[in-house]
Amino acid sequence: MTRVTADAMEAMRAYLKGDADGYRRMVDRLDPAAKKAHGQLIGASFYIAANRRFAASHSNAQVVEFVGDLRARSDRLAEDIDPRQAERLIRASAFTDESVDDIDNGLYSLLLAGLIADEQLTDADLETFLEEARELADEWLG
Amino acid sequence: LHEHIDPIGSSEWSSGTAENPDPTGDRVNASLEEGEKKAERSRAEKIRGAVGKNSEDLVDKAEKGVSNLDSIFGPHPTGQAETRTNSGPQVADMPHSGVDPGTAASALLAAGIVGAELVHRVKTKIRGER
Repeated sequence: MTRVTADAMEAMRAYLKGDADGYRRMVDRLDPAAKKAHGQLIGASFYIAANRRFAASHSNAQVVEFVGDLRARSDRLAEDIDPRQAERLIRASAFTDESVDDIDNGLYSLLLAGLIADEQLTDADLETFLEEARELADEWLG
Repeated sequence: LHEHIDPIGSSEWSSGTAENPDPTGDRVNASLEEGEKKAERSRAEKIRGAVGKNSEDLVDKAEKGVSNLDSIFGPHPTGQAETRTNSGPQVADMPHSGVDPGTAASALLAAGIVGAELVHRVKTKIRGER
C-alpha cells in the first residue's frame, strides 16, 4: 500500500515555506511511487486549505477576491491562473458540487501556496497542517 | 434553592428541564449536520478522484510553477505605479497680442448694433423734419 513518504513530506514543507530551490531538490529525489503520493499530498493539502478558508462562509465574493489578489501578485501568476477555473476549483472543494474534471492541474499547487501564504502560519502551525494533510492523503491513497 | 427563595410555593417550581422535550428541533439539526457531512464527503471524493487520476501531473505542474513562490510568499505589490518621462522644463507660451477671431466677431456684432441704431435714428429725424 502506497503511503506519503518522508521525502514527499519534506518536499511539501519546502514548497509551503516558499523555498523554490529546496522544493526542486526534493522533488527530483522522489521515486515514481513517492511522486504519486506527493501528488495526492498536494491535492489533500489544497482541499484542507480551501475548506479552512471558505467552507464556513460559502462566499463566492471572497473566492473571487482571493483569486484576483493572487493573480495580481505578478504578471506570471496572472498568466498561469485562469480565474474562472481557479474560482471553480475552490468553490467545488469548499461548498459546491461543481465538476473539476477539466481543471488545469497546475492550479492545485498555486492556489495552495496562495492560501498558505495568506495564513502566515508559524512553524508549529505548519507542522500541524502538514500532518493533517498527510493523514488525508494516506486515506486517499487507500 | 427553590425552598430558600420561595418556601411556600417551592413545590410548584420546575426543575428547569422539560418532562417531555419536543425533539423536532434536535432532529432537524441532526439531519442538517448529516446532510452537510454527506456533502463534504462528496466534495472530498470528487477532489480525490480528480487528484488520483492526475497525481503525477500535479507534481510536474507544481515543479514547473515553483518560480511563482517568490511572488506568492514575498511582499505583495501595493498597486500600479504611474510614471511619466521627464522631457525637461516646461515653459508656457507668451501671451499673444492682437485680435483673435472671437474678439473680432464680438466687435463686428457690436458695430452692427450701433450702426443699425444710428440708421434708425437718422431715419426718424428725417421723417420728423418733413
